[in-house]
Amino acid sequence: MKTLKLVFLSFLVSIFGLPDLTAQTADSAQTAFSSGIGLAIKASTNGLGGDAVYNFHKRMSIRLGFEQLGAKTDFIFEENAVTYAANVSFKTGSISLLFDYYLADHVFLSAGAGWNLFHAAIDGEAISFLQFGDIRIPKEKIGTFNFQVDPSLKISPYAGIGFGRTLGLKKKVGFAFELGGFYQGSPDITIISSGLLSPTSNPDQQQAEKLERQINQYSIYPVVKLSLSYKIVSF
Amino acid sequence: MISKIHFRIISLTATVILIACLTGCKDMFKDPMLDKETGDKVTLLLMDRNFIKTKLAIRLQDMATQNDIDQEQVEIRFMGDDAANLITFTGIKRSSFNTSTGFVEVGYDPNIVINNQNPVELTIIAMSLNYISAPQFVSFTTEGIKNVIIKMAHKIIGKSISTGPFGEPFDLNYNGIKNSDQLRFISDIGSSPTGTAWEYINLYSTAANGTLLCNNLNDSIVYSDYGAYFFGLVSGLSLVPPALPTKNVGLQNGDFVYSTILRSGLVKCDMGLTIHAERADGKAGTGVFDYLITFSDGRTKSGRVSCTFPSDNLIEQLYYPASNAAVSVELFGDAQYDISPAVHLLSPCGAKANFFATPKSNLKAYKFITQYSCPDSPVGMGLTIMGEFRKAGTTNPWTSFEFIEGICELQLEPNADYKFRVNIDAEYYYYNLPTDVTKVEAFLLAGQNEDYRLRSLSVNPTDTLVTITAEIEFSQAVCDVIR
Repeated sequence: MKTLKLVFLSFLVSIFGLPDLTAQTADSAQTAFSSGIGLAIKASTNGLGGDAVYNFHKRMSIRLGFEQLGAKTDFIFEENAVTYAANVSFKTGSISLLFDYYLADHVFLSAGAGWNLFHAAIDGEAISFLQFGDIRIPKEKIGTFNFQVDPSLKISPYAGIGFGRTLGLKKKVGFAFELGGFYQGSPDITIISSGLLSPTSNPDQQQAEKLERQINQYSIYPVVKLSLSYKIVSF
Repeated sequence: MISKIHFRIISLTATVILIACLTGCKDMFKDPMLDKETGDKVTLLLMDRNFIKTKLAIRLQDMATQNDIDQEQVEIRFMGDDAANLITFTGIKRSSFNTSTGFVEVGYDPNIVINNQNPVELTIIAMSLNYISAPQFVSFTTEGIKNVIIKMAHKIIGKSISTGPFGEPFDLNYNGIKNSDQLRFISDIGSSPTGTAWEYINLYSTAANGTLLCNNLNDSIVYSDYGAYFFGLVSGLSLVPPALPTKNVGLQNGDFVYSTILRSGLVKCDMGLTIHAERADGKAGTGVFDYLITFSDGRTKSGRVSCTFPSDNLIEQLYYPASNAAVSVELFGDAQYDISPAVHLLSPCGAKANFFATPKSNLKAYKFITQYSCPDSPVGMGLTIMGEFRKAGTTNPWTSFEFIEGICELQLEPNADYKFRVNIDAEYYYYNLPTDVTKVEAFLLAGQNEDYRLRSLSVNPTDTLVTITAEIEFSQAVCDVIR
């Protein structure tokens, strides 16, 4: 929270406290600017990847980029005397087209959209029998479950604020730190289940809808990004 | 060049967007596994506790009055190899069940495969202080709910057989005496099925130790064989279907004797007859309906089928006259549905009798969607359970229904009060429910007690359907019993 406050304050200072300075530096830098195209590598909460950056105006650039990140972990849990083996996996990333507008030489706003690659899944199955009185229900009859979480907006708008340059202003190398988020809408959940767990995916039980309500606050995928760019062509 | 004023407008807009984003993010750190409204742990998985796909729903009726025998304790005893596979509601293996409700639901071990090669074969006999049934053989090759009605005869020892032959087509001798007064008539049990091609005639009780001899069949054209089954409460000896009856056996005082005959020219239908029932409008629903199959020789076979539309029920143990296989099949409506007219078939064997159910015109559909859970457990339950209902304050016959995976759709009269009951291990549990949508929610909320509470409840009425959705959390004590 403290970090957010600091970011917010610096943002306010940047837009209300520095316009004259911005104008000044803009004037002084007017002659130094040259359009350019470069490549950037980036690491963010949305994945690792790269951008092609076209800086066509001192205050404006566009970026076409790709980033992706994935992880998977296994776990075991026991409920109602049945042991389940499950794994949770998630993949995030995007193919994005962003427009940057520089409020000052090294403060910029970004907006655009990305093809959202976010996908999370939980797979599981019973790995123990269920003792029911004198009989045992084999694990195969207990069944399997699969939860899949996807953004409701596959093409997700993006907005962010950045510090630094997505492509070097005067130098060939540029560095940027960016905070933003993809608006992906309330996540959609799809459930597939079998065996005795089949009521989980029975549409009448509305289990997917109930769980969607539980996670509808995750409509924005937060992005914290670092990028390092190299200007290949200046013109 | 962007002017200062434009610059500030853009900056202000950006600030507003950022504030909106930050506001939108404030819930991101809330635990999604805790219900947003109630704070309860969220149910992730729903388990159908209905591992028992095959159940025998056994109803005990007084043979004379057709009323349920619910005023005294009745023991229902199962015989045959498959009796070892029978279980209670909580999975305990038993071959004998007690009830004083006139009804018991018996499960069949779900690990045993049921098919044509491995049919379930059982012989059921029910007995109590005042009643005794004829042994009834049941056999089925498919899973599902098997409704069995056991008709019990009142054990009032009647006249001595010496006062008359009681319609026997053969002679019954006891200790060498035809129509001996030591063989006492109890009841005509012609309405009780043997479950085989044989037909019961009369029930007797012995008044002394002795030897039973059956002979002198008086019509060898109509009947091809005859004899008697017996069951000894005291002696523990018995001969029951599907074994062949005996013509000569030593009995003890107090044994029950069931005279029986075999009609000529009957053929067994190995493939059975399928009764198919569905809603005329294709919608969902559940009901339990009586059927009557009438053969060309006037004999009948009756029973009851549980239907969750659309449903197929295979009726087995059919014996039809070889001379004319034609049958008439009737399915009778209940408090919810009218059923289409009788179906006439050239042969019951492997045939399907199709019926359409239409909700009665004064009723409205009520859909119940329930799930049950235990405290702090992410695994809930969608119960599959049979039940019955009728309008509160009436003595109307109970109408059967079935919850499947916690869901059930019933046709009920709007703005009425209904009484529901479910039978668990031969004990009835009763619940009331008003169908007035303005009262349902308050009524259910007021009904919470130390055993359960409602995590959520919604009542959504439309012109044609009222959907009542409830998440119920059992107390830990109840959960301990269920587990």
